Amino acid sequence: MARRLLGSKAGESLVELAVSIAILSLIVLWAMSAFGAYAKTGQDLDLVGQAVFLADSEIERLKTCNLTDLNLALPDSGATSAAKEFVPPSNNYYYEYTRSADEVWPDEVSHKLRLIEITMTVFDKATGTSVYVVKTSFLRGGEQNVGD
Amino acid sequence: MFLPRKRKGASFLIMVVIMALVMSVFAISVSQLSRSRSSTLISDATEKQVLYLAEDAVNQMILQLNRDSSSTSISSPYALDIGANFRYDAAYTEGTGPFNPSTSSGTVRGTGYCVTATGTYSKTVYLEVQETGSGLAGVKRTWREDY
Repeated sequence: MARRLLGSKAGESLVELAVSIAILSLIVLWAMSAFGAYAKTGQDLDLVGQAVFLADSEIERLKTCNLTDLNLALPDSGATSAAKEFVPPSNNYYYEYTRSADEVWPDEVSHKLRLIEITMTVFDKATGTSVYVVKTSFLRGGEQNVGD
Repeated sequence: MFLPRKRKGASFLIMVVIMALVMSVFAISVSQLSRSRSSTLISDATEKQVLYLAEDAVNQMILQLNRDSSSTSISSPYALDIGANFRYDAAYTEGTGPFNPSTSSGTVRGTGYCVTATGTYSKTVYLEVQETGSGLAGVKRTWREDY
């Protein structure tokens, strides 16, 4: 009776059609949300990848510096720098250094060893949140690099 | 008269089910791809963080050796400021591998670790050290990574 009322002549009723459309709609919505998540992941990948690349370039540049240039580039021992721009400036990121208290040995001679330990934090300009944090150190004996 | 109608209805439903299955497979594939790219994103950043930690460990070990030559190993404090899942350790051996024994005073090994739910990723840096006028200093490096 219901099939006849709903006008099914070819074997499929409006009820079947409605159920089919509902099922397919749900699946399409799921597929679309999965695709949206995929696109978002790709965007995050690009953004963090860029932050890692910029931070890496900066640290590699610091590795080549002698003690005088390191002291110019980094904040004082035990301090955190102001927000700094990458070279060349990035539209998306800025960074800060936190320099732990230097370890020095021995204190009384001029060619002493100095361990300068830093934590570099890269921030997203748009949100102000940190996207990448890396910790490393530089070891200098006088002006010479005597570590890794 | 009744049979053809039923067959057509059944084929319509089968078509809907097949379409639903195909779309589900597509959605699942995209989800998996998204997860896979996410893990790539994490590993790229982690790789660098772990390498720099290993270098930090090497530098700390050299400083420690110059302070006290009998102290031949160090390890990180329980939690580092870059994350509790990161740690490092370093050790000095008078053995010269992987470097040339005729030139080395020894080798400093520094290893950075990232511990995750799926395992531990690490990178190890080896630095050849030589005695100089003002103490031990690094002269040559090599590294390897482990999963």
